[in-house]
Amino acid sequence: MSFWTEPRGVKSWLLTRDHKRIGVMYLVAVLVFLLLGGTFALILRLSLVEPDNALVSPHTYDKLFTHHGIVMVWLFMIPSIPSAFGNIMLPLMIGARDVAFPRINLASFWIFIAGAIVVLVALVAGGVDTGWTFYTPYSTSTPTATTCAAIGVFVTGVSSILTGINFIATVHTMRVEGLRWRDLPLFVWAIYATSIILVLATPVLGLALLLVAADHAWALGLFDPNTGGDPVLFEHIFWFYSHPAVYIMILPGMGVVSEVVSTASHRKPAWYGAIVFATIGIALVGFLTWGHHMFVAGMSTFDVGVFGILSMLVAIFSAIKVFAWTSTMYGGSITIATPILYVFTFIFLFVFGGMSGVAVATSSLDVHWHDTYFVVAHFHFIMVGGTMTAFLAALHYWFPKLTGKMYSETWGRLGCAAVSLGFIVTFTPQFLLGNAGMPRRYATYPAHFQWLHVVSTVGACLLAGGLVVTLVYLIAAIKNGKPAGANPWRSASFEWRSPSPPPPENFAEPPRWDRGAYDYGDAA
Amino acid sequence: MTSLAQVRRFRVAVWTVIASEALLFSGLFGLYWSYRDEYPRAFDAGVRIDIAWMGGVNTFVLLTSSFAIAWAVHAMRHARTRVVARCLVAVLLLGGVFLALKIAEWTVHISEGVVPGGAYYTGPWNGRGSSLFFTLYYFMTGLHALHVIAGMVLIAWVALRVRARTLTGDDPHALELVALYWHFVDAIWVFLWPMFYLMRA
Amino acid sequence: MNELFRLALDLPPQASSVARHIDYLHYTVIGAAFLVAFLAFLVTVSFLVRFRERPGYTPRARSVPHSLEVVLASFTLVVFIVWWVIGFSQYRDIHRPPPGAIRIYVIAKQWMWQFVYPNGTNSEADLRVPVGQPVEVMITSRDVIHSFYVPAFRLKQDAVPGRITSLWFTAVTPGTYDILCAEYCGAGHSRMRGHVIAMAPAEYAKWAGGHGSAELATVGEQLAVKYGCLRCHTVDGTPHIGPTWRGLYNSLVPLSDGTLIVADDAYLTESMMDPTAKIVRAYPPIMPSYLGQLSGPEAASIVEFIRSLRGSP
Repeated sequence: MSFWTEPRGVKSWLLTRDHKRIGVMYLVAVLVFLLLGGTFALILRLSLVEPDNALVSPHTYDKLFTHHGIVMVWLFMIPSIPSAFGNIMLPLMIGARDVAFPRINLASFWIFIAGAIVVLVALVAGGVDTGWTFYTPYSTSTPTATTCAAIGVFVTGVSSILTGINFIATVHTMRVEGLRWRDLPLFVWAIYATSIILVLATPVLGLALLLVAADHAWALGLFDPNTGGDPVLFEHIFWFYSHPAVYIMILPGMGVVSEVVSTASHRKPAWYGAIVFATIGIALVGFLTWGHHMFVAGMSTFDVGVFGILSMLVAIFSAIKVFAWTSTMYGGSITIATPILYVFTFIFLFVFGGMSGVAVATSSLDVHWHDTYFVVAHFHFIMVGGTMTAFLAALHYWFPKLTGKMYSETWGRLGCAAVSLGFIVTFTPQFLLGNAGMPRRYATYPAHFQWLHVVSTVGACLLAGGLVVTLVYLIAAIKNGKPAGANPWRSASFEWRSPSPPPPENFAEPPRWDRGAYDYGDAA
Repeated sequence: MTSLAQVRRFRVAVWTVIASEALLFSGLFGLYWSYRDEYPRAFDAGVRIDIAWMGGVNTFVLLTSSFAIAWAVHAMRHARTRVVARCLVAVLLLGGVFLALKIAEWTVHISEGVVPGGAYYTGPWNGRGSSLFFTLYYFMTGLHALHVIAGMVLIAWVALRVRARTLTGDDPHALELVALYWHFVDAIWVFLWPMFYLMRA
Repeated sequence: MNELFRLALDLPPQASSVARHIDYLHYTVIGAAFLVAFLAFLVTVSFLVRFRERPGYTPRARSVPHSLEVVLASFTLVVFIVWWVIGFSQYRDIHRPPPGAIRIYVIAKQWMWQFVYPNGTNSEADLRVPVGQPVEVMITSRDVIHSFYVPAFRLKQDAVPGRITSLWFTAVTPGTYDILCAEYCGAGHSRMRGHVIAMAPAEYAKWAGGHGSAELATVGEQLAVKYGCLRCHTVDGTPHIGPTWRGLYNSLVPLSDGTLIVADDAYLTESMMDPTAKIVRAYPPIMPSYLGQLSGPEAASIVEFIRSLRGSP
């Protein structure tokens, strides 16, 4: 008797209050949006093979990169790990039966779907060509479906806030007896910190989008110089949310990495306290760094200095985590399997991507790099090389818990290799393109940039292929995989104590916190 | 009966909601102060156009309603449900007065041609930034009014539960948490009032 | 060495006085990034191999000492702060023009660059500057946000409508360098390009001399006389057949349809080309159009003259 089959019927899924079913529905949704956003990206990359871009018109190109950004950021990246895996695993990891507010959880899912539908309507009914950043006055004057898209994203934001509230209440009040804050699994800490950002930052995004939607629809002129408005103020409001948003995107991934490293190495995490400190540090200090997106927007030099130094500080928290993960592996007994291979990819891609972030935080260097492919490469290293890789790690790590089956390890490694190699070939040339001065959001470009674009496109095809292959063998394994047992990775973490897949009430008996989530019996 | 665990959950949730809403308004506060700094004369003129007595009465009304709901919470702890019911009705009535005055003021402004967006003429005053003042005025008081309506819905729900005796002196938590939200909504107004009615240059 | 790194990292030629020092910092930061990532790769691979689960392998209880973490984190923080200090001081220099810099106005609009020189001339797409002479560019936009980017100079500044941002540079070698728009601005964004043409001082003087030597506003005043504008518009504030130009620039003007508009560059230019589009309240709609008579640059210089008429006469 598993949560998949109990209770029966489509209606029992659509109106479920089971966090696992809600998490699975989120998972399916975000995978669909990953494929959609990825398709836009593939078309973009194919069109960039020729400097004159015969494939799509500039206006279509502008809509494609906007749609790619909107779908990837708000319909994939933000919900991917927290709403899917957070929902499924959080109660299991703390010994709870469900989240604090199961009905709000269900509402949160359907609000997300509603918002996604409004966004998709905008994409189809005219499209949006403002970039996912919606900078005014272009966004408030362009005759595309900006208002509709902004409202759609606003609605998904409401979903995020509800999820954040739910997770915060869950972690505060539903830990099993004996589970203290200092014993919390690191994934739970990551989800908790992410939820803090979700509830505090998303409202500011909601405001920014409402203002854009209203201004676009009724020409309010709030950011229009003709009425005395200041476009740079919009940038401040937008980035005040969107910088913490990138931490919404990476923190859960880091939580996954902590779990996989610990389980695979059969060791408790090294420097647990430091990792927790760094997690909360990223969540809080991340609110103070938004101005580094605006070094050339006309901010005062003083502001540039302050935002620069705070951005350096945030990077140190990530560095601490990388040191801790590698130290956890030291002296362990590591099970080499697909999840740890994805973590390995994560570590060196995230390190390089993070260092490139420190590079752009260096103000004089950013003057050259801002709005070039260097920045594009930087954030894709973190978001794809980091978050998406961690998402794939989570998928492969928790697959047996979720389905009770195991996928083919050979295909797992093949998929990991294709995704990793494809990623590197796609995005490393983009650092060079940025250095050479190729601006972003260019539909056509000076011919001397061409060969780097060609290499990047080849990589994109490989990356896309790797992703598709991965999804195919995972879906096949749901049906044909070998039975996996309750704890194939021999993890000490709580979620592995329940059967695979778990029953609707999570645990066969009310769980007891009789030993820690990282208790591998090592003396060290 | 709400269990202790449930109460804790709701309490955490309501405080989180309040923090979230505070951030929602904060962006608008930021915009107001930036633009006020840039266009002090236009904002001064805007404040003078706003109907001061309506703003003042609305402040008095909301503060009184907060007092009334605090009294309800206090009475609930002593299980004096009749007093609670009367206080809650008072809060709803005061909320209604607030909204009515707000609508009245908006109507007056609109009939004078003070509408959000675009450049508009405000009599002898000829200054850049005036439309920004009023765009922010409509946006912020409108957003606040939506929160007042939400609060009133919650208070009505609590009042019905008191009537049905599912909310009692032993289990007053829903009332207390709704009161908390109502105080927050009042607190927002306490900032809006000087910003839009009192602060001349 | 410098050339080696520059070419390896695909950086453009170092054509401005600040480019070389920015590149030195660049090499350091990027070099460190590669090194650190490579280290992370090596360490992780070696751990995965050395500590992998296999028959006969029993892990010994060992862990990395806490002090190492503190040392590593502190060292990393120090390095980042050093980079920030250098980067920030370079950034400050980029925004502090030296005395004696000549001022050139850069006007971005969808989808072209216009440059207006102190001697009154203007050009489109090509910005001519003398080598070895500091140039301060005053940048604004006529419509949406653009960004003035010269990769060879390593310099960029957003062009924001409603405000003027600035940047300074000194070209060190004669040559032609790309100007690219670096802030998405619509369908023509990728085609909004230009060139900085850095000329040897003698050549530049020849070019500048051949294009008039008067100040832009003075040129505008002469044109206003020549085309008869001052028959209807006064410059001292006295009302006449048309609105006075004193204090007009960027003021709020009430129109005949009841709306208010800001008398900015766009409005003033439109008033010369299509005077019946917007009529100022209480004035007769009798102004003739100068479309086809006044060229773009001439209109710009008249606007510049109107702009100079702020304050009391």
